[in-house]
Amino acid sequence: MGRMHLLSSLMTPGHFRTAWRLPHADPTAYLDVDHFQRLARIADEVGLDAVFLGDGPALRGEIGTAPGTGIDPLVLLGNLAAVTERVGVLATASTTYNSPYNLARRVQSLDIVTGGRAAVNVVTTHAPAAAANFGLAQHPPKEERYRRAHEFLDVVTRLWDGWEPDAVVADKATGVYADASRIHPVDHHGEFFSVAGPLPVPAGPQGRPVVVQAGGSEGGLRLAGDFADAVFTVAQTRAKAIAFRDDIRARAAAAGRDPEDVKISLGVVVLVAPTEQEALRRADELYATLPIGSLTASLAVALGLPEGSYDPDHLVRIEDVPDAPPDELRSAGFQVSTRALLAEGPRTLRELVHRGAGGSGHRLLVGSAEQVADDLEQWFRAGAADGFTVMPADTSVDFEAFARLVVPILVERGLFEPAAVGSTLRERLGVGGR
Amino acid sequence: MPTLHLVASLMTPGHFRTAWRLPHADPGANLDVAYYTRLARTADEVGLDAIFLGDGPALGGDIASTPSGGIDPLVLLGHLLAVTRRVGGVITSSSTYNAPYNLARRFQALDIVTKGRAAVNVVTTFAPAAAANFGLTTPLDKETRYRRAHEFLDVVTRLWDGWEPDAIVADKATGRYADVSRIHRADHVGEFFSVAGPLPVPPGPQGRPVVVQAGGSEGGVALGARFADVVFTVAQTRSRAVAFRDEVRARAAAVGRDPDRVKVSVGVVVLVGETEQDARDRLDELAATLPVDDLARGVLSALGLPQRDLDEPVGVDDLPEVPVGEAGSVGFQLSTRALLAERPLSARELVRRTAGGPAGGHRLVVGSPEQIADDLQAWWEAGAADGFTVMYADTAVDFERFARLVVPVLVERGLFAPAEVGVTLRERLGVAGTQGVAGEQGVADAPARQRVSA
Repeated sequence: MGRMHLLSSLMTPGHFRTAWRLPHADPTAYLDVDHFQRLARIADEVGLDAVFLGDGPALRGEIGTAPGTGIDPLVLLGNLAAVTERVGVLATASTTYNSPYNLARRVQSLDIVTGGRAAVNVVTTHAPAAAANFGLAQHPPKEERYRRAHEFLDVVTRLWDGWEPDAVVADKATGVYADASRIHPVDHHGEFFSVAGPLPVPAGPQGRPVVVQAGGSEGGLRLAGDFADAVFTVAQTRAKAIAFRDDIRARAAAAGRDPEDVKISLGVVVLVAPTEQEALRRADELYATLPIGSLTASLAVALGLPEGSYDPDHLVRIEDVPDAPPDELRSAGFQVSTRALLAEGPRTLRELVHRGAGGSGHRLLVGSAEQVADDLEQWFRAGAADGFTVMPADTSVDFEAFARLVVPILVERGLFEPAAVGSTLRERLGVGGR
Repeated sequence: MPTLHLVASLMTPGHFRTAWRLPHADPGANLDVAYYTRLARTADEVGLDAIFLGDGPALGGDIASTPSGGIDPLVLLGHLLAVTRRVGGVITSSSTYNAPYNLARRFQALDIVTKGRAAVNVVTTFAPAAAANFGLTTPLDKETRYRRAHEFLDVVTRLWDGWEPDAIVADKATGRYADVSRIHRADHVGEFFSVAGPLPVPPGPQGRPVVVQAGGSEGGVALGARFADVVFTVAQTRSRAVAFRDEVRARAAAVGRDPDRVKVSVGVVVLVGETEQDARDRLDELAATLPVDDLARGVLSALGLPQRDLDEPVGVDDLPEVPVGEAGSVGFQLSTRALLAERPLSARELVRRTAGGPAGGHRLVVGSPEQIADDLQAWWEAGAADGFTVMYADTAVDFERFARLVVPVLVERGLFAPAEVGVTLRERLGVAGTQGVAGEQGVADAPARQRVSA
């Protein structure tokens, strides 16, 4: 059995978006590069595989109650990579609101300057506010976004492959710098893009930077099967996670790839403390910061419950929740994951809000360091995941607590091996070079 | 008395593009982050105002003979600013091949993570190879590119101004995070862009990152007068530089700006010898690496001249009345015209004077540290420049020599004051604050703008 990989989200104040209200919290930490550098150095010390930032190019509507989207993730993660030595950096980027040449170039450049630690999480972006920032009156439909994403990644990966390894000759006597016949244009003409190529410089240490894909819809799964080195997913139950991983591996095999070259990274929101009692106390403190009324209402809409006003203690049964999300702005992965949970028994809306870490939808894990390690071990051994994307409940506390308290236990149990200086992220994740 | 500013180009192997052929040169240095880190730390130590990278989003046509195109400058300079504390970063970005929302956001982010050291050098990018990477079969014509650049910078600066300083309330008791009435959309609908805004986060220490503009054509000068904090220019003669600076200042005043808030940075390629003789020997060595005949033919065509004997002197009367418009750099033509007005030079001599031809076209200064300091002082005192963008004949050698040998002379003469930690690039350049752009009101004075809905 391979070792599990560990990515850690830097989202601040935390996956409980209202954690900024806690007494110890600095409410503007999400704008403070020193805060992020401190976290990145901790990640580097304990040998986490990568730090991660989600993104969407727009201000989110809930800025009245919590910090929304943050600093441009590529710029921030580039800064963090410069002050660390081992940890990889995974930046989210939109295939809908970028051009493939610029994105391919930027991520390749990040791979060069980080010595092979760059990864991009490609998303198609489902925020209508983003469309309005890029000249679109309406958000493109999901099917079209994924068609574009497919063509986008096809172009990007071919741009990355454009220079043969020995293209730079640098013969000082004759003055020949490069053998132009070993530098290949892509000459792509497709539905969405025409891109000549090649990129201006040869590839970095990884050849292709690591590609992560995060969408749970049919289009997202197809994209993952064809292009992703890692798939980031949401699962509230172990059975659902196992089924998802089997599905992705089968799709990769069907696309002619080795299933071992596609890793499943399962999102999990972690609230960890030295003792269980302390963790439970902190969870109650965090729950109290949530605007439970509005979260209950938006959860009811997200799940497609019949219209009406809901009490937080309203009991939801699986029969109440439709198979598919009510409209295409909603996440299919979230819907499937919630239904799997309700199949085990009814839950109140309040419980669902709490379990979903205040709305982000990922499974919440509250406990002592041993308990958190036990849980991850069980999921990993059951084949539910190749590793985890750890999302701290309150990042200013739980990021460090996970790194200092949980990681050593996983190392001691032989489940995790700290990253070594000089290895590329691709090597660490065990996804073959291409 | 104000001091001159110094911006240092990191272009590698150097403005003599064939410097990689010299015996000491590492031909892979242009891809080596450790090499760039050394240069950036040197710049930081001696207190240069900024390091700079030009850019175009395409592989250049001359890759067979020289490194041509580089690492994405935002990524590379982002890295270098993370490992330094004082030096600013001037990063070239294309207004033709970027979306204004993404670019505004990226530079604002850089300003935040560098604590106020970010600058963008906005160019419109002519290269046809770039057009082909972004779905265009032919490049946009120059007039259209500059019209787009104007609208682009209008949107970008309004996005940067979108958050009032006290928009974040962060009241822990009530749970109110931001006052959305103090966060303003751009709501721009124009010829090239529709952009709602606002940006996701409030601005960094500089408010607006520094804007540099580099084009010498009519469209470029108009853009600079309206938006630029710094205008980067080429000048082969002092009188041409004085006239250009006067023009930029007058144009800025004409659109209602304080002329002192638009700085002119003159490009100069330096080759620094330990002695004058050492400098001359190195120039001979460097010149021997150049494919002089090819470059000389390139000079003739960039000047709009028919091919001729490469040793035949070109006089100012040989040049076309009006600069060649589309493909050629107008700044290069005007600058060369001024040079030839002083005395005729052959195409081969022009290559030598311009550090390798029209791609650079900047004035080459060769000499001992004292001689180079004398030259910069004379230009500065004549009102030819507010400062210099220093480019290096052979970057691996001349970057360090300029920093260690020339800068101390300028400091001793009271002409240059090293940058300090905690001072923003805007403050250093003397363009602090964001006022001074024509027609632009402070955000707080624009109550009619649409608010973000909660």
